[in-house]
Amino acid sequence: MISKSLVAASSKPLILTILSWGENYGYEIIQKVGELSGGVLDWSDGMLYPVLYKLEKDGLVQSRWEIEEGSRPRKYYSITKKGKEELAQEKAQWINVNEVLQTVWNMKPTVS
Amino acid sequence: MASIEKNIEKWKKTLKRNPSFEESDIMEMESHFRSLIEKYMEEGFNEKDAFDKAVQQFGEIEKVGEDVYKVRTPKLVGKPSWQESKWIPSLIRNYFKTLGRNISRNKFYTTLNLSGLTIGIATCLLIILFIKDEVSYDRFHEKADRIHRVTLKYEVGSQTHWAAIGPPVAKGLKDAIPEIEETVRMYPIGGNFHIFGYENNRYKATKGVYTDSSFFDVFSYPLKHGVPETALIEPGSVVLSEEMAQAIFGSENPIGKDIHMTDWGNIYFTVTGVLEKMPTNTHFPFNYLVSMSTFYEVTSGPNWNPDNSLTWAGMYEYVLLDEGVNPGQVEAKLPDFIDQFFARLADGETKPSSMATMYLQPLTDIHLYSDLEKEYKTNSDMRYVYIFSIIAVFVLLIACANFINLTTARASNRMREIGIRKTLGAGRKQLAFQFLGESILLSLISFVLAYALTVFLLPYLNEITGKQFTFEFTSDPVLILSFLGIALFSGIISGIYPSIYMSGFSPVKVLKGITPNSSNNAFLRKGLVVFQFAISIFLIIGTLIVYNQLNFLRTEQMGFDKEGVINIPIFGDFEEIVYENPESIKQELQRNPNILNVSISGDYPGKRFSVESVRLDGQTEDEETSVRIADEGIDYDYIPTMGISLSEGRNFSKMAPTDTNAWIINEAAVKKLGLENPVGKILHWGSYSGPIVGISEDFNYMSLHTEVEALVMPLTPDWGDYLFVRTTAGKTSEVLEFLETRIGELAPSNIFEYSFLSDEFDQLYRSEDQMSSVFWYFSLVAILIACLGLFGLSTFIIDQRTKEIGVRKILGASTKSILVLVSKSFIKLIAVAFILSVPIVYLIMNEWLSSFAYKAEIGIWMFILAGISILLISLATIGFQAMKSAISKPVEALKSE
Repeated sequence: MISKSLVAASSKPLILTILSWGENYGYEIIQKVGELSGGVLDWSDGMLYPVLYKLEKDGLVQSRWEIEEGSRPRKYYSITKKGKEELAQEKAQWINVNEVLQTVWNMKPTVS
Repeated sequence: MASIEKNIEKWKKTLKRNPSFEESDIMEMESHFRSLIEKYMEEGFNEKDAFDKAVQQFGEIEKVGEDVYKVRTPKLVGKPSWQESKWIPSLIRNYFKTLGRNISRNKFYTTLNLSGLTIGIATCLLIILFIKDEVSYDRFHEKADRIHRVTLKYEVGSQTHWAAIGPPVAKGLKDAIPEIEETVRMYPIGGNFHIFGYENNRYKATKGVYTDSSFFDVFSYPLKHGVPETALIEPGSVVLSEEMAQAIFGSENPIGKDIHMTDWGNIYFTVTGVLEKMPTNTHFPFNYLVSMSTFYEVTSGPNWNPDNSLTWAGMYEYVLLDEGVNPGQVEAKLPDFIDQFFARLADGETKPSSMATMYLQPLTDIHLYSDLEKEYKTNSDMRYVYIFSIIAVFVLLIACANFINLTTARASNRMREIGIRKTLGAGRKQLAFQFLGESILLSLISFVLAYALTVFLLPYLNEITGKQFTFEFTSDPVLILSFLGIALFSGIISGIYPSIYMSGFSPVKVLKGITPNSSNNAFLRKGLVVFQFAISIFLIIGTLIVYNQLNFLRTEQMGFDKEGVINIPIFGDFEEIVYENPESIKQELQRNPNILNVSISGDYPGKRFSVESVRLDGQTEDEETSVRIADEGIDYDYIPTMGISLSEGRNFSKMAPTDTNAWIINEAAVKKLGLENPVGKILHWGSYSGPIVGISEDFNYMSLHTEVEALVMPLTPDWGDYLFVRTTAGKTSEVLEFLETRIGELAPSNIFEYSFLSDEFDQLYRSEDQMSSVFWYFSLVAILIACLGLFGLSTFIIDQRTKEIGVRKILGASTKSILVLVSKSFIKLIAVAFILSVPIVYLIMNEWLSSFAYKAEIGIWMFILAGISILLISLATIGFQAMKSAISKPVEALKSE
């Protein structure tokens, strides 16, 4: 299990990444998260929406409704330019953190 | 399929009920939810399980809603407004808002309410401080609960109960009773003051006390300098108060330095200690301590040793009991102790223990409960504590009555609010709590204001009472709690009735504008006004009676003339000169035309003469009668100087050689000794024996609390503590000037001291004086608060009757008739209050007056004066508003809505 705060922190880059591959809607996004993380990131589906609304409010994603006869109405989200910039920054940060941790963990403790 | 749709609808409802979600959110989530169910059904779950799994997978709606709210709200922290917070009951914000609105819309009534409560609570705070101080006496001693004063009551004769006992008793007790850990004796140094000299400094020291070296073991007086164990052992050791050390030595360390008492045989003392600043709340205040061994050295002689004086009621003696010892246990041993210790006084037939009882008086009880013969100083009285507490409660109740009256009278202004709250589902209980909460909150605000007011008034109170009251809030949780208790109490008392009354309104009626039937309410209001004014009238009449009695005491014919007599204490160099040749000093002074008489004598009327036993010729010592005696006797000029009239016989005369051992006695003494034709009878007092030459009228040499007691006055022409000078009327200041110069010439190193006999005599009524001024202040406060309430109530009622008054004026009513109309109902109430309070005040004050042997009658005029003044005050209060409405143009009144 991954801790709650880490899940919350990673949700933003994760969703932005999925949307950077193309427009998508809530259910599919959550399915992708599930598949990609192999079940490690265990979200309750409902919690996706506050995150999406927040991204939309901050102008990182935008949305449109697709309502067609005979099929379920869906709200599609897509990443904005600002969203892409934000994603790039997030990515750099996560990589940095990752590298630091890697380095630290690979070091042999030396006793002086 | 139908059932799953129903379940989905149900699930959707939880979304719809949540104010966080917008319509589109719900649509989006429903779509998601349906996809989830579909997926689970594809995985092979049945409808029911698929639905359940989807619900679980989607998660808690409430939590999702909260997060969505957080995303959308401009507020950065907190919970959605519709969610109940964990500790604040719902609607509380609304209550505050309503209260704030009510306050700001009714500034006038709120001010009245708050000022009444504030004054009431402040009065209570001051009284609590006073009471706290009264009950704190002598409790600062760490061993206070184990310290007892030994007192002795003679069971025969006058049955006098003495606060002081013979010098050897303390040691005897310690030797005889193992439960007594330690004893200490205190003996006040005679004279009003003594002069101490150090280098060129002269210091007038008052309140010196001889005491044993065990003093510091028993009492908790920390020393700033010096060693407590040894400070009071050697003869000639003196321990000074901080102030005294500062005044004599300045910043020098006084330990080991010598000071000398210049006015009394030039005795040298060595300073062995300086006390830390001492608490004032003790029954035994003093400024310096002298070792008891000094007293023994100074007084012991071949004929007299203090330790032989078993029956001399001279010293205040205290015992420190072992820890855990019950005082009753020790007291039980005292009769046996008396039998052994006083054995040599017994005649063999009667046991000493049947003639005297010894008591242990708890140290902490002395200040409030002790009124024995020869107290160190006049103590306070527990009755004052009770009276003050009752007054405090009354003043607070008057303030609460204001609150109740104004709130219930104005309840109709809140009918709409009550109606709406009830319609929206507020229960009676909830409303009652709201209103009660409001009154408690207002009383807490008053409490804060009262606190500020008290802090502001405290210096003045300290000045009046001569005490050092402080607010030590932080260090005294009991004080904080009792103050908060008062605030809560007054809030609840004022709020409970209005809240029950107002919460009982029927919503339908009040929203239709039907005023609830309020005859009960009006009755209560009238009752409260009556209550307030009854207390105010009570206090006014009480004040008048106390004042009248005190005035009576001051002006009553005392049997002597206390006006125009100057008392000059004889001490120091002056003492030596006076004793060298008293007659020539008297003659010298009498040469001044404004000086009528000069007398050198022991005590002046107003001081407590001591009690001694005298016997008639032919009587044995068993048949002695105890009478009061002018301690150091009087001289040839005492009777004319004091203006005492003789009813029989004559004054002492220098022409009659036998007068050197003669007596003048008062009429009461004639009666007590059972004499007929008293003049010429021989009277014995120890070795002083001689004929009675004159009978004085019963002049009041003690306070008028008591009837004049038997008094005998021996002649001691060359001895006395005071020089009494009678002046011609209106020439006092000239005489004082003359005396100061003349005595200054005779005894240049002396400080000129004097007092007026009338002032000294007034001292006897100090506690009554204080009570009178306290009564007076409280009457003012009570009337003030009651009038605030009356003002508010009359304003409100006149407001309500504006239209009626307008119509009446149009129909021709005069200003006067309007005034009468408006005032009439209040005047009736005040009349009822007057009728109720008169008998009560009469009974209570009569009881108080009965403590005086001589009393001024309670006159009808007092009641009339009180009645008229309260009537005028209340008319002025009502009249302001009444007049405004009476002279206003009717058009204005009718236009008003």
